[in-house]
Amino acid sequence: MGEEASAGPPPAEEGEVPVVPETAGAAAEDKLGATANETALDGSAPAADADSGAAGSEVVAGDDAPVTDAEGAPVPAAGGDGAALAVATDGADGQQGGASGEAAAVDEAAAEMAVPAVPPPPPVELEPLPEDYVPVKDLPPMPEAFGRNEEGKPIPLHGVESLFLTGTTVELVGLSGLGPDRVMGEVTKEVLLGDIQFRGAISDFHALKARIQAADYEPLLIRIIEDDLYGDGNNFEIALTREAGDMWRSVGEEAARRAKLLELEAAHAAAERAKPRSKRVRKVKPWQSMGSELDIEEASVRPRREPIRLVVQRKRREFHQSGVKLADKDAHELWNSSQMECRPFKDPNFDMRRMEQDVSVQAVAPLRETSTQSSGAIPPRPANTQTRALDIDEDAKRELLQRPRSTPGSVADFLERVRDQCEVALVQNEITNIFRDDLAALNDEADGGGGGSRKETLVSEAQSFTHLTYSKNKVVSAIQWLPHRRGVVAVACTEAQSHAERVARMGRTAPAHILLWNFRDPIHPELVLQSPWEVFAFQFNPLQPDLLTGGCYNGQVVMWDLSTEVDRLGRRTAGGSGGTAGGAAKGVESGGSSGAAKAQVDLTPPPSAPAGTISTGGTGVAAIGGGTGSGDPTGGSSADGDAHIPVVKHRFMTDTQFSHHQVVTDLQWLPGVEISHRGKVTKLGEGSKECNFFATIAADGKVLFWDVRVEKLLKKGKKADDLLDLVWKPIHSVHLISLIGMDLGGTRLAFDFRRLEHGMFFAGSFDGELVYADFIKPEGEENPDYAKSCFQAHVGPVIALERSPFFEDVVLTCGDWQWQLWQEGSSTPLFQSGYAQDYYTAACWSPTRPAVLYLADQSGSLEVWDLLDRSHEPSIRVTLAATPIMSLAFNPMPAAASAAQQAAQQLLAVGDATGVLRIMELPRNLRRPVHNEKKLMGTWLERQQQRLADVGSRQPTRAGARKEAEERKKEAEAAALAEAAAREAAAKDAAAAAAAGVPPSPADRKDRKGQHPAEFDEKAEQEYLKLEARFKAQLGLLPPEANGGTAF
Amino acid sequence: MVDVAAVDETFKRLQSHKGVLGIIVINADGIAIRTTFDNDLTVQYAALVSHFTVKARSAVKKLDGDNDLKFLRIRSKKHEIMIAPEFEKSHEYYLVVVQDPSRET
Repeated sequence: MGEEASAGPPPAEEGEVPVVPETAGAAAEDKLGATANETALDGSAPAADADSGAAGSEVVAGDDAPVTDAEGAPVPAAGGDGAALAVATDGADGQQGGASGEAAAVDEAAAEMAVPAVPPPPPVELEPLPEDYVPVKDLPPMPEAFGRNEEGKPIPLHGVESLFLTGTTVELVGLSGLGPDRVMGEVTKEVLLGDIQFRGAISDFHALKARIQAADYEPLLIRIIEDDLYGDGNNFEIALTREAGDMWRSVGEEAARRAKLLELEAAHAAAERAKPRSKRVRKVKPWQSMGSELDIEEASVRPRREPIRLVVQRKRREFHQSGVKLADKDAHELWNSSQMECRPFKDPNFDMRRMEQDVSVQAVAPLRETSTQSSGAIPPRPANTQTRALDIDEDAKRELLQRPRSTPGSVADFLERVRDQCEVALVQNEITNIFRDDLAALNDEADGGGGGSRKETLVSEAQSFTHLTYSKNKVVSAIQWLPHRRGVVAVACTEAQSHAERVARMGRTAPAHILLWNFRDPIHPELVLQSPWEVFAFQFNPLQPDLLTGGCYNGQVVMWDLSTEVDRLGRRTAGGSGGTAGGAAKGVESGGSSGAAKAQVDLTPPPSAPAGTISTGGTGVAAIGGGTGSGDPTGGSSADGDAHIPVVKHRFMTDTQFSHHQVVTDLQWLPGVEISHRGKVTKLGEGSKECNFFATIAADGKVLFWDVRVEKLLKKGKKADDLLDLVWKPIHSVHLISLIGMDLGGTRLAFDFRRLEHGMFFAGSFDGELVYADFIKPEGEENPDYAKSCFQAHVGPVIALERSPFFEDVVLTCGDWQWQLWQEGSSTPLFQSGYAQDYYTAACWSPTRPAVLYLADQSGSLEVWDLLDRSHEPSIRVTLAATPIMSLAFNPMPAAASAAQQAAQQLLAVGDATGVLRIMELPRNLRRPVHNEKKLMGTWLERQQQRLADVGSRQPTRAGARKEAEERKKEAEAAALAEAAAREAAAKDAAAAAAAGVPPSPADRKDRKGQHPAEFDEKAEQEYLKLEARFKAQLGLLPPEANGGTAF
Repeated sequence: MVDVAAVDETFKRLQSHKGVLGIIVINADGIAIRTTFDNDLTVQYAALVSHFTVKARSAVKKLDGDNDLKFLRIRSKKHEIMIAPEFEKSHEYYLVVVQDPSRET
């Protein structure tokens, strides 16, 4: 909507059409005089009305009808005369319209929008609707056949009486046909009067007799009153005047007419409905006001005032004046702003007001989530690098292969030529070991050749540990490296008491301790495990390293669980790292200052109060520290630091009744097997992480097998508090008998861990016996003999029994002054060493070198036997301590470590009889196996076997020879005896002869001596007598015959 | 046919040596003409060895234009690969022998 205000100057803003009608209209009107050009149009029709002949053209404006735009307007204007322009043109009309100042009349004309009623086309078949057809529902309401009183209630019309007719009366007067369809009936006066006359007072018409007679028309009309219209209970009414009767008749006719019209209407409507939609005639309905006209009124724009009517005139002759020259102009000049007469400018008067509208648009990118996933079955590879191997078909290959000799491309020829080269190479590889690393071997030789430094050839001490309270002057009876932690060693300390001393104090508990030494702190043990009795053998569970069990002097077995301590230890080591670093300086060269610093660090109070034993121990140490004086910083600091050492008490203890009755001498965990109560052994699956069983041996001749899952033994319903009541019993017991039929005083156990399920093991005894036994209980035997064989290996107790880590069937035994190698199944030792100077106290195999053994003796020396070097004496002998060495242990290596790694980190823990634990570093040549050492050791063992076999094969001959020798000896002895007897008899005779005062002859003296010297003495005597005789002869003392008799 | 027999005989003879794991004859295109390995391994060896040999030969030839590669032994941790190439213009073959002398045949 809106209109055009096309004044001379186009709107300041190009293309901007005024939107506000009022202002635009006003602007147009105000400008009319100035620019002689105007308008507001009402459609194109008024413009067309502009009369061409008239000097001015009329334009109707001010209506709110749609307006053509600026382009539409000039067309009708041009259609009119060129002289009169009453049109909206834009800037272009400066040429035309500007020159001819013609006026445009503005007039107002209201456009009447009359909608002509379109008569519906008459239907073809149907009776046409009457000319004056008005739909029934639009007709005025039906006239009523009754009147209404003031209150609007129906009352009978004037001249009408309502009355009640009985059914008999209705029949009598012939009105029985009346009903809803026919409401009116005619009755003659005569009938009515007859009825009155015939029935008298009971006639329903009796009351109306006079009026009936007076009725001015014939016959009378009677109507049915429906629904008790008048409220008087009557059902009929009768019109007694002509006026009322006519009224009734007209009402009836009208009703009939309308009914017919309705019918017709319905028929037309039905016909209309039957037509297709497009052919239906739409009735134009008269407009009905629903209030929309108000809206239109509101929205429409109306002139506020009368349109101004003005007339602009120009004389005819003034058109086409000579002064005006019209010429063609180029468009670019024409539209050049410098040439234009009518330049756009901004007129503040007509500055357009603009309505502001806040609109905002925001583009939101549609969000979509998608994902893809490759299957992963085929390794990803870019499509352009996927390749397929070239190939040629079999026939082509065969052709190549079959190409005859001495033709180009013959494979046979080619092979012939290159074959020899290949064979040479193949043979070379066969005769030399191509995988041997010559450089590595070279390195070994350089080391082993003695050219290395001292450190590389000598066993040197890396660290030593002792504790004034717990281990000083005690015997380190067992050493174990912690399987899961590096640089931590556990040692069991026992009193240096003889058996008699122990027996003397038997029955009293003697708390003993196992100390855990960490390499980081050589002064304070990391942890102290307390045991009610002295522990002589203990071992960590190899698979659950927090569990350890130990065998006590009284035969009981105790178990510690360190899992609760691990956190505490972790905190402690983390917090005390500064202190331990100070301590790791070995405390020897650290002066008082570092000692003090250390003490400071360590003085932080422990989170939990230590046990009573610790506090007493602490005071004892403090006393010792005071005695030794302040010059010993380690003593002082250890006294300070003792309070920090956590003491762990044992968790479980075996029942005395079911334990060993003598000292437990060895304890071994049995990983990977399950032992039943009946002595059956089942192997757990590969890689099983369970290790629940261990075996102990004691001097009472029993090997007991224990299940560590003590909690299983708890009866149902018992709580953890009842652990003390728990009876921990062995699940299997093996009784071993010694050679002389007594209980075997067992000392050491050696299982074959690779084949535990076979049940064969070795045991050593205090009497030097070596027993080969089977711990699996045979079926059906109540007291089976478990021992398969028993040999007298040593004269003293077997102090070491260990399988070679490289040869499963070779066992090292050590006792008294000798060590031996036994092979499983043989009855004689494979090898026996010579007797040593000192009593051996400990022995073990090297974990990395198959041919090397370590033995410790009572003088404090460590012997290293390299069997490939020499077997009659140790290769190296180092004196480590002045006191006897009591135990040896190598640090364990994870199974995953390579041989080189193992060789690089080999440490030997040595415990002596004064409670000192020494960690020895072994020289490289003892750590690292020489090339092919296992093989060489294998051949060495074979050689020993051959030697044994050889000795065995010569046994019969040698036995014969020995017998012979013995017989000869016996004969000789018998002869000697006989001779001696004869001499004795002779001597007795001589003695009897010389009985009277004669001094005892030399022969008599001889008799007092032994059998053998007798002959010698006799000879010497004869010599002496000869000399005497000669001497006498020289002196002339003897008669010449005597002299000659004795002379030569 | 006689010549196929000769080829067979050579193969047999080479295989009789200790620890020989397999023998392949490869043509100039790196296609195995005859092999004792299974297919996958053959394809691998053929592709890799022929590339390697060409490289090795070019190295030798670049050092001295008159020189040529005669034999190539690659000793690995597990075995040794011997390559006997022949670079005739019309026919170019490589004989590849893989040997692990520590293994008993």
